[in-house]
Amino acid sequence: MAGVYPEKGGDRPGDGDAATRQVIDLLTAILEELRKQVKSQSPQPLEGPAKDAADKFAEIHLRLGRISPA
Amino acid sequence: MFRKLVSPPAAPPAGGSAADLVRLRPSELIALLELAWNKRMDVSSVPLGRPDHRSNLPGLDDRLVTPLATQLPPSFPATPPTPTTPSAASFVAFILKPPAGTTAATASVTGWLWDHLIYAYMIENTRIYEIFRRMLHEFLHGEKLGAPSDNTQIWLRNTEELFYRDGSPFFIPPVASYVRPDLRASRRNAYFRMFGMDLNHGNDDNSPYAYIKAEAANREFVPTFEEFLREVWVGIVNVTAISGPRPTDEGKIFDLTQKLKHMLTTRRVNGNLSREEFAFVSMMSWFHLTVESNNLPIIEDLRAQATSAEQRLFKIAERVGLPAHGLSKSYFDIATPISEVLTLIETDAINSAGATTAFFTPGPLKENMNTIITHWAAITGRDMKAGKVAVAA
Repeated sequence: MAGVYPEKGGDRPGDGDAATRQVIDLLTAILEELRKQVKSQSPQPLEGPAKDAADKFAEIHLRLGRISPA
Repeated sequence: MFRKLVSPPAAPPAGGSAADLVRLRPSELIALLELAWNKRMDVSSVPLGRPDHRSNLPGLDDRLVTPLATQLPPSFPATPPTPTTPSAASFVAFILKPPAGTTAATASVTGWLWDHLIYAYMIENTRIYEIFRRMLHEFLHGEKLGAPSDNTQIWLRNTEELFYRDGSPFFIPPVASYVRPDLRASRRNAYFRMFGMDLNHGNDDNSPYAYIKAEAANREFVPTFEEFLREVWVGIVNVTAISGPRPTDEGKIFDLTQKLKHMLTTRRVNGNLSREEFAFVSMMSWFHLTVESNNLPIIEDLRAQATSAEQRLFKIAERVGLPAHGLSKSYFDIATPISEVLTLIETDAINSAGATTAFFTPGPLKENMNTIITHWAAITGRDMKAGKVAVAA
């Protein structure tokens, strides 16, 4: 029976050989880099002239006294 | 103007309820508008015609208008309101305390703004003015719609007095005269001058409505505004992009906002069109408020209760036999956001390419832009989310 089913022990992460370990390390590094990029590319809080524009917009909204539909 | 006086549920207290507001006397309502005009933003260092300094036209003095609004000459003792005569006092108090600015530079400046003329244009495109005109006609000439209740009669009187007849002289909102007797033509004239656009409907039989098309009109408004919307959409889509080229063009968005600002403020130079804008947005705000409320007597009498403004309008339109625009929801939904964005563009706040990131970075302004892009596409049939296609020669 042992010849019918393939040995599955090697599929477990903890049991990999050096080549598997390298692949895992590579994937981990890629994911980490991706995570950093996503974090750095996420919209940052507005600052400078963009913040001034957003503040002016908030003030217009306030002075227009807009209400949400009942 | 009228909508801002009314407190929605769970909102900071404004002047009072819509039911109370529409039951005031016509003289009180016109006085409230006059007071709001007097309490407008008035920053003299800003060029005349801009949002913070729309006009130098003086309204009636507050000492004359306030007693008229409250029906209480100073020598009279105050009488408490009764169920049949609501008081305008709370609305007056609200108007007399306009908000201060929210930044260090404007914290000491108080004043109201009113909606941009585009608000009136969008609301009127639902055909609401013509539908309510037909409704008034039916109520005042027979009983096809039933006999109006006493409170509905107050609404009918107010609406007719304020918006379907020559107004009282010496006040700011009434703009009809021997020189411009047709208010509908006056509004179309203003829309054409400011946006180069006519309303989407003509007369009741769909023949074109006659009005004076001024030579000086912003015919480039629509293509410029649509290009602006397309560029902002590119910004919205790519604000979180993490790889590849960055197609957002802040410089182009800035250039387009400046074009829009220059064409709009040119029509407003020296405060031109400000009084008309105030009158027309106030008028449309009255009708908008009416269909926004489910418990007003006029809505109940017409059995037009529904879950949204456009559905109430559709029901009223059906009763009077004049169809509303099928995309009324989009017109209602876009009216306020586009009013706020065009007001912003007319200020000096968008003063560099860097400032334009506020249009597509998550926040209230971006939410407004999303709403505008969605509903502008719906009402024009032109997709603002598709890239501009260059046609080969």
